[in-house]
Amino acid sequence: MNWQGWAEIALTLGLALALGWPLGIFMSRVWNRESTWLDPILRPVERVFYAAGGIDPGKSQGWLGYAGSLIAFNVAGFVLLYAMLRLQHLLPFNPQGFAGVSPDLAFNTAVSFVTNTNWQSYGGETTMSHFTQMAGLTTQNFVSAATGATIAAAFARAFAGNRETGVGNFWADLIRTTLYVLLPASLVLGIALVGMGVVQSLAASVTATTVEGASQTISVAPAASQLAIKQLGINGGGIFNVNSAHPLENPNPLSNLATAVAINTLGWAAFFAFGRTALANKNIRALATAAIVILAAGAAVIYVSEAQPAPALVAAGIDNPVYMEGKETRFGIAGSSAWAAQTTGASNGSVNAMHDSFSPLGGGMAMLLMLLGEILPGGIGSGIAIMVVMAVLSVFVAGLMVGRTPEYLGKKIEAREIQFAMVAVLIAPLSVLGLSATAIFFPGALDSLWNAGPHGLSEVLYAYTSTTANNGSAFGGLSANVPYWNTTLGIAMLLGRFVPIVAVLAIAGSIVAKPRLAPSTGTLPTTGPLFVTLLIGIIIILGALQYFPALALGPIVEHFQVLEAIAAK
Amino acid sequence: MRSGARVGPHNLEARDMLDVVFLGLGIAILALSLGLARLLARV
Repeated sequence: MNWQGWAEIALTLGLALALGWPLGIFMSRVWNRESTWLDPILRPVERVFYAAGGIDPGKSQGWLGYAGSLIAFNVAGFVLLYAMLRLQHLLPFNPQGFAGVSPDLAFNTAVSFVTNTNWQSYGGETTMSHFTQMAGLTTQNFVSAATGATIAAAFARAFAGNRETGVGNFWADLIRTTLYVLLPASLVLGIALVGMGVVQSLAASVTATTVEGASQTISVAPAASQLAIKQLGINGGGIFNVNSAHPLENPNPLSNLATAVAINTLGWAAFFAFGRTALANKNIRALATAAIVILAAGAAVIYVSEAQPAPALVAAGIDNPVYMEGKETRFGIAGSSAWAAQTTGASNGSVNAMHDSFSPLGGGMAMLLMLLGEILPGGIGSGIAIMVVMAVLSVFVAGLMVGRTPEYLGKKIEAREIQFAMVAVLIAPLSVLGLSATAIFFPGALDSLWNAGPHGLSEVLYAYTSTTANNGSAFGGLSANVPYWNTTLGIAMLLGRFVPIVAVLAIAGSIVAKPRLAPSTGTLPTTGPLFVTLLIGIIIILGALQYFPALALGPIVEHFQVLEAIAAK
Repeated sequence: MRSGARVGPHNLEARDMLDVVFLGLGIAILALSLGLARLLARV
């Protein structure tokens, strides 16, 4: 550890938060259909989409109609992407001549990209054609990110509304977020990444001569364009199997910083956009404060854990300063730790180091950041939506303690909202713990594990955590490209995505119909340090209560095993 | 199409049935989400 390392982590986390503020104001203007400086170019394009789809953007939908449109859009996206994956051998831009993927992998991959997870059971450069990457996966990177944003837009309008029924128009929110926010931001970042040396090519490969004189074939791909949206859209994954540890996807420290910052920028922007749209800037700044405090603490734990000597080398009597297995020497411990925190605090999941090789506590912290609900800042919109659910639970708990009816952002919180909030929050432990337990007992499922004991359990837990949280990063010691894992991980992604979406929209529908109340002397302040502390407590206690027994059997016991092994030497 | 070939599920091969299973699974879970929404609307 050194001050440069701490400064790099602070810069990465801080830049994303700082950039999120102005972008959040812009995003809110897009959601609210206010004028923007992009109107002269994009308004005509927007009208074409409305005309083609027969959409009246001014027609506000009730929450059930909004949810129905969202699910219908995702059914169509899933079927289309599934077909594209199965038939890629018949489609153009396939210079490597890849065959169509198997049905179980097509299911897993289609679900993965539709749900904004980007879990990849395959190696991109050896499985997917350029057409699949560009027309299938990258398209879903845009629209799945925009789908997440629509939830926050609807939820924010619900708090701003006063005895209304509509929460907005899903199709307008989807189109406007894609056109005005995601496309321009990706264009700028994509071109900048090409300038930094990220590969962008439709060729199959290039041939190089090694220093020994041998011939080496190196796969190339249209990587920069996908990299831009998969970071900004908080999708994750990547064209190359090792994501941003690959020198053609992440060639230097500048590209590493730019893409690490990009992971969380629009997630924070969605926080601030929510605050502006819900007329509650101060309250949402308090939520952002709680989120950045937990994220920074998580990054610090990972950095401290990874900046220790590798125990196996210590045990062998070899002097070594830090854990470097599975990490890029170009990025080092701080660069890997900052990325690991950013990618798991957000629902991104791209990696620049192999999380399976992290120390037990470092890898365990990456897992915990996902288990806390992907709210630090989580996905675009989906993160702030679940964070607001956490805030609703916090005011409910506080209301119970002081004996008053809880209120949040000017709306009374009653039994109905708490019931829906519990649906949104409890689906995650049901999926993570239920599917992990099933896998452990299911005959043959554990044949895919490369490790036994606590680390093997961590690999199983990490897989279902990552997919349920729609993160997509992985402990690589689990060979998941077999029917059992492709199927069950796909189910986890669907449950983790759509059950909370439906529950949040149901809360929105309930909230929007209520009168907007002015704060009174009996209202719990939700802007100050007291509320931030309460919220952090609720988030951590929820995570600890639900998952502590499982984590104790995985990364925590593995940590003590490592200490014991070192002591024995 | 060869003469006399039957059209429909009878001439689906096993691997085609897997497509039906996986497409059906994805659509079913998404449809269940909509079912959950309708259930919550009644609460």
